[in-house]
Amino acid sequence: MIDKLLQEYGIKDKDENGLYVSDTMPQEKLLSEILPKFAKIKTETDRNYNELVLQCRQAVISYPDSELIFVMLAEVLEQMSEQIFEHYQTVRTLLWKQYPAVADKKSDMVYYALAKGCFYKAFLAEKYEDAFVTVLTGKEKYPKAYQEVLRLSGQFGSIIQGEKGRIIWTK
Amino acid sequence: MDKVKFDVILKTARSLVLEIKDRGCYTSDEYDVYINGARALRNNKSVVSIFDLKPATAYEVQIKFAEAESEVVTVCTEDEFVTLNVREFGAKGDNVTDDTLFIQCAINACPKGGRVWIPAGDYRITTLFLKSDLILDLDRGATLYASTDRAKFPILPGFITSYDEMEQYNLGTWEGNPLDCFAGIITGINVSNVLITGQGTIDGCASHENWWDSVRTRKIAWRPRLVFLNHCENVTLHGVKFQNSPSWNLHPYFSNHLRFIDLIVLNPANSPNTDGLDPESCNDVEVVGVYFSLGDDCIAIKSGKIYMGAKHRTPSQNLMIRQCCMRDGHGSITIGSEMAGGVRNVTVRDCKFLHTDRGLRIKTRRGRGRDAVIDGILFENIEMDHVMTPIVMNEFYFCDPDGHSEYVQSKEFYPVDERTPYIGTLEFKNIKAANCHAAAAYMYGLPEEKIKNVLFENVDISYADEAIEGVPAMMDGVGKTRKLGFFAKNIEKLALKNVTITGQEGEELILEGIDKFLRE
Repeated sequence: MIDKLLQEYGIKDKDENGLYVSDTMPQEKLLSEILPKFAKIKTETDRNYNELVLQCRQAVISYPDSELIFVMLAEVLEQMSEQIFEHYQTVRTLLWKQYPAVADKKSDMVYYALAKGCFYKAFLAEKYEDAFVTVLTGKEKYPKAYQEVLRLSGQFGSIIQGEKGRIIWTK
Repeated sequence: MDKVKFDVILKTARSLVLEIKDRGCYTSDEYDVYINGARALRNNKSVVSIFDLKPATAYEVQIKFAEAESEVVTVCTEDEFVTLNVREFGAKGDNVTDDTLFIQCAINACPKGGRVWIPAGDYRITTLFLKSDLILDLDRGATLYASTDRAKFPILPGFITSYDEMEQYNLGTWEGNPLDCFAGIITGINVSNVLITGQGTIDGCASHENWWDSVRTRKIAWRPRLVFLNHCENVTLHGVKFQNSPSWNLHPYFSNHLRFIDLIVLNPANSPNTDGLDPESCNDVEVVGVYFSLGDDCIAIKSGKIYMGAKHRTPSQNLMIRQCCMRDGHGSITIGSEMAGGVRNVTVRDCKFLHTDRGLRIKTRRGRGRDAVIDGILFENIEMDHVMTPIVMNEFYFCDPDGHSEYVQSKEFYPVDERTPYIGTLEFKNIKAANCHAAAAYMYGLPEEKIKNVLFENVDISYADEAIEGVPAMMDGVGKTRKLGFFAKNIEKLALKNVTITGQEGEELILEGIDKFLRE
């Protein structure tokens, strides 16, 4: 199944950093699309995440301030089995480390990945309340993140906005 | 007339536990225990409890066999301040009412030196949380029946991130990883000085219709243990019967100074993952006079998978297991497979293993890491009957997603690095294994880091006439065997002193990669 996936994306080789390359797509975009799918297949088959984690780690090194890679990590995390904890935790840590470099972008995708990261406990949700207030008050501007924040709120019960727009997590 | 020797190994306000010396796990003849000159009970177990005593009272204790008796020993029971009867707190014990809150109230209200007493009755509960300085006493005829409705159980998060996001507080655990799990039926978190005693029963009520269904899938959280002790100190479990656990029965985790005395731990032979006692990263553990009959390993000594092993580097160490009877499980004593923090100084003495798949079972593999050290293991005075393979050491165990990879399974030499596990010294003395089936022993070390030193002394292994085929070790390339001899590969020093193996098919000894072999 993995071979088929790699074939689909025209991947025949790796670059000098060990990252997948394709003739048909820029590498950053390629990785952001293929690695979450790679993770899903691995979870459904042998759960051997060695190659996946290597790709993620190298992707962060090669694209340290990439919004696409940040989002990719959140989506990979979502697809992994927590039972292979050392790898699951590695991806959590990569996500956490990547955030400062992309935080200033304040885009729908960054907030989306941040909320997803909170859901999977890569981040402590209450520390990112300002970001979530921004999302909740800008539903049209942040449609993807908005849905993810709502999902996150399920973990806490519900979200209400208190005075000065501060989020109150209620059970 | 020979003198009978015994020790008082546990003394509480209401009970004593005696251990008869030098007569094996079960005495060949029954004996009587006399208390203040009157016969109190008759038994043939070498570890016996005497209940229904009064606090702070001196008793004269004597043991009499037909042909021998002990000295009369005077023992004074411990003090007790007050008894809190759970019925006075509202518990009904009518097998209908949910008594969790009433019993929990008594527990929380119990002062130091007090006792929470659960009189005879059928109590429906979910989870009870222990507190420090507690005695929880289950009377004869008292049974705690656990709910099987997972929606009613509290969840212990695998970990909770600190506010600075730099640290984690670990509460839940599942198979060596910090994962969300339901709180155990009896749960202790950061508590000390606890005694759970009595003649009652704690029943997890698990069956294939509830907890044992689809066991590899997380449903809300991972399955609860019957007793879960997380970061506890000085905890003793005595006398009680534990049965039908949703997963492992007794799971002390990063806990120290623990005693498991004269317990019965029962689960059906076909129940999944129902290990009897799994000390994980624990220090100073004494297991005496416990009877196990289970669906998985009777005792499995662990220290976490790679993440927890590497992060905390806390081995399980200083374990004494004696006078125990283990039957029907996969392994009688298993070390691993989650043992990335190491396992050291384990003594197993005067035990009986019956109808288990393996007697000693060591499971490790490349990738467990340099802290995954197994060292100082002693088995002494062990009787086995109908154990498929009495001794198994497997350094190619095919667990985890990469378990079948070339790195794990290759029998070729790999460089020793930070991923390589280590097995040091193991000694087996006075072992009699009758009616074994698959193999006498199966020990397979890594070629690059051989098992260091193995001694067998006064060992007698024989096979069942109608031996059944079985797989001696779970590694790639090892199929079923029947009456295989003594197989040992990749050991630095192997000594066999007064070892007899009779009835094998083929060679008695199959040895390869042994640097120094001694046979006397």
